[in-house]
Amino acid sequence: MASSPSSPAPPRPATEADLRPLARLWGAVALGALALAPFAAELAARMPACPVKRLAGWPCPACGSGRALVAIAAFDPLAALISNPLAAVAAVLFLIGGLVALALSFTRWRLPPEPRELPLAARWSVIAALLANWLYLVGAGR
Amino acid sequence: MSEPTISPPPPPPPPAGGTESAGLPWEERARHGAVQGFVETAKLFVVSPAEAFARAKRRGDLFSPLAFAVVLGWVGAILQSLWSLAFGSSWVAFLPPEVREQAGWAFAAQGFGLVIQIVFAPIFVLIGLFVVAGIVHLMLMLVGGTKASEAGFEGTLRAVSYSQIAQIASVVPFAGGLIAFVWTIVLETIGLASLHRTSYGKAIAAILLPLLLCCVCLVLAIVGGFFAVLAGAAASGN
Repeated sequence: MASSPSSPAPPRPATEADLRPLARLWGAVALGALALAPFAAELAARMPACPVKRLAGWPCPACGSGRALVAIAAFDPLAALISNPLAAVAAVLFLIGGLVALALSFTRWRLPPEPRELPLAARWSVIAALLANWLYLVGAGR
Repeated sequence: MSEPTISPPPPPPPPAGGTESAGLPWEERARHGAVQGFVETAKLFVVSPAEAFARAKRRGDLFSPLAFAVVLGWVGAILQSLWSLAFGSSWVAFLPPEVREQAGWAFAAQGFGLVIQIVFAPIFVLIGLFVVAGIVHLMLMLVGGTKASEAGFEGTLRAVSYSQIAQIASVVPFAGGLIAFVWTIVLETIGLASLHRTSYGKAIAAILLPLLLCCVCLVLAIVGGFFAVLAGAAASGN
């Protein structure tokens, strides 16, 4: 069936010129986070307790994230994984990804394209990871 | 034989009266001035957020939305801390002793937080924007809200950044934080729908999914606790 004249034009893919500033911003934010790392324990100690855990006694999916970040700042990956595996992995990917993106943005290499959609398998993987992480937190009593 | 005529100059472009042709004043601050552009843009997002997001750029100039958000986020954080310092200790005296102890700890943390927020707020706001935009964008992709999007992650970052206008609700003491929270959700929904050319349903689903996940946990925990109490009562009855 032919598309009607009023149907929206197909989206334009992001170009290198679009992606490079974003990559540099990601890198700058990752560097900012690294600059705060020496204060991580002090800052985490001032964070309020999780309201879900306080009300229900069960951890929420983000419980242990603060401890995981403090552990990453202290170069203790095992403690980070024990505190909240998903948050630990996400934080490390965020930092490494940001630094790699920053480095790539200053080279002549092409940046990887930004995905517009998640394949079905990836969607289910995200959901499974969230659920598995939460079940671990409940089981471990974080 | 007719004399050669000099063709008239092309007519000037029509004035930018429509909402689509004019950009946000903050994004065109070279023409409007920085302060004027900031104030006009803030007004537009308060009065007519749908028009404001329709006028926002889809790509390029990441500095504008981020600077807008950092300024507002910084002001909001300082205002909230100031309210806590100004009114916190006075009404804590009316609380029951056991609650007063917890509240006192919270206000002590707020006092320390004031110094921390003033010094580190721009970095916190920037990291917060990036992380929130990352989570929301992942959820938006999960619900299929980015299929027709040209803006990509940049669009989500832009929507989250401009939604920081809700931080001006922090001027209201006590309830300011809650008002800002709800207002932010409304603005982010409008922004995501506009910038990603998706439905309001998918936009709000992307924003609320992480919150709903926590609520589902809470409900499951309450139901679990209820059955545990029932089981305990049944066991003690036997």
